[in-house]
Amino acid sequence: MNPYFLEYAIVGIAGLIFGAALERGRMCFVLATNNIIMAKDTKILEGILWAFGISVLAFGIIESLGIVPIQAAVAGVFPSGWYDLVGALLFGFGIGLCGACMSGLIFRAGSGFTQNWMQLFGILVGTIFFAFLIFPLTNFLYWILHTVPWLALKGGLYDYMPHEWFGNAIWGPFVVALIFGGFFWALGLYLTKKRFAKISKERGEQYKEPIISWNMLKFKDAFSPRLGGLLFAVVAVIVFLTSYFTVHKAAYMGVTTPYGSFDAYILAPFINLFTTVGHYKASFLPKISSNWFQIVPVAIPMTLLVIATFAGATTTAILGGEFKWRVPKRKIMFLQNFIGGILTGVGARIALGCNIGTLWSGFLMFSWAGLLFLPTLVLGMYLALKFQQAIW
Amino acid sequence: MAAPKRKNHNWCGITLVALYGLFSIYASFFLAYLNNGKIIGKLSNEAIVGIKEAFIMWGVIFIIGAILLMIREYVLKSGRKEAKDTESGVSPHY
Amino acid sequence: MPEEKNLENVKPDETLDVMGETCPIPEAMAHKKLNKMKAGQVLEVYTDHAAAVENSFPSMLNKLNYPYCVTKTGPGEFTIKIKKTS
Repeated sequence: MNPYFLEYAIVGIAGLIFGAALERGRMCFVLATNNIIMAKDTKILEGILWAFGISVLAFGIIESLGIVPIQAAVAGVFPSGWYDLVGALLFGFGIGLCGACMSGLIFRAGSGFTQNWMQLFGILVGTIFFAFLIFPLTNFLYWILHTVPWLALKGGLYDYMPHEWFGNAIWGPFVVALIFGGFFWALGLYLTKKRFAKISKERGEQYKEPIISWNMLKFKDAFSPRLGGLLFAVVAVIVFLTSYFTVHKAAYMGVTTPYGSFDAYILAPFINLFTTVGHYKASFLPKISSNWFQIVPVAIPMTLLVIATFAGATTTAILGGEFKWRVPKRKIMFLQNFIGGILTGVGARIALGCNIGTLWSGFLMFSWAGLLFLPTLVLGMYLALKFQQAIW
Repeated sequence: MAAPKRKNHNWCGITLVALYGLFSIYASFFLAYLNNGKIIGKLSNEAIVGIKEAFIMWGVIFIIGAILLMIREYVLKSGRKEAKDTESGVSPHY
Repeated sequence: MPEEKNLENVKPDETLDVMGETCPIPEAMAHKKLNKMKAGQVLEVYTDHAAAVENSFPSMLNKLNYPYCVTKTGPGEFTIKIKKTS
């Protein structure tokens, strides 16, 4: 059987699970951040911490046991550097304006929020804007590959923490996973315990939320965010193992580049994407490529995963009786979401990924990308929340 | 005072699922063409064929899924009417 | 403050329609409106943002210590009644 067919067939199933986890678990980074800032509530954050913690630990074990050899795992590691900080700030502000992160967008749009379809449109436009203007005019790829070392790290082994810290030791990935994954998961467990204790005290009775219940499986109740997090980790592991064992090229989760592929598919019948539109000659720097579409993969497993995620989210929304075509009364929200979408798209492209592709996968790759992405992402979301509280 | 009674929007959702399927079939037509102009990340012919088939397969699955959801909606709808006729209760959603 | 079911039949003094809006707009607008209201008044919020009803509203109202009551009026549609106590 064609290994690529097998890979994409299994990744599609992973996408459906991912969509269900997103939609049912309300896994959205903006929702988590807003709840913490506005009400000090950590319920959604716990789910995200579970997702990060469990998946990072699982990846550490997989790489240390050699199920996926380190050479294969590092082949997919991005370079990270200053652009993570810059991109994350734009991205954070954009997703804050729209009220949905790159993955939250999928379940919102999938369950019928017209605003988030507008955001998606903004992302597609922003990506085109990046591809034809920002990318060639600033010679973006050149800067990523040739920035001075302390501003950027090369991809592959150079940006692989276990190699930096422990050399070629086989237990390296496991130790790094234990540090990061252990921290995330322990923090998640601690926050859950703290929240339950607080509610128990208020109500004067033992309070607990089940991680999984029969009603959740029947789509009657929303999933607990912790179950959502667990499914996130399962999806990341399925994608990683499948891609390695079928085509011997380990794939990490990501949803930004697929939007670029969607742009390519939509534009393909109308314009020739590989002509000299916005050619590098406008730039004073050496030539690498004339526009971003020349270096975006024609299809990565994630492209299909994102389509399947949309399908999974819409299906569970219908089964859960929550699908609704939601049109905001104030039409200005469409403008806000369009602008937010453009910022989201451009920011994610500058950072080479979004909250999934750079933040989460950054930790899964044991690279610096996740750590660099996080602070300015939170800052951007915070600014957007304050901005919205001020104007609305 | 209560929010106005809403229409059933599930048909919109079912259309969306079918559209995802159509989009993934549509996308499969451009894979080979888009692969030609690549500077980085060119795929082998085997890869293009496999990916194309998988896109079509998933597209068909989504469309079948949409049809199944449509049947479910129809069954639920007729069930709801019966419940109303016999005045035996409210629809399960409410 | 846990949910209070006896709010269900109280006539609201103010209403807020945030149908179709996503977070943080429903919570932020409700918060603003509550700030303008007098103590003892009841606010009714119409929303179809399930995540806000499950997470954001309860946590915000717990922090403010206002009793509230959520009614599911349809698939994915909710009415929240909030009593401003102080």
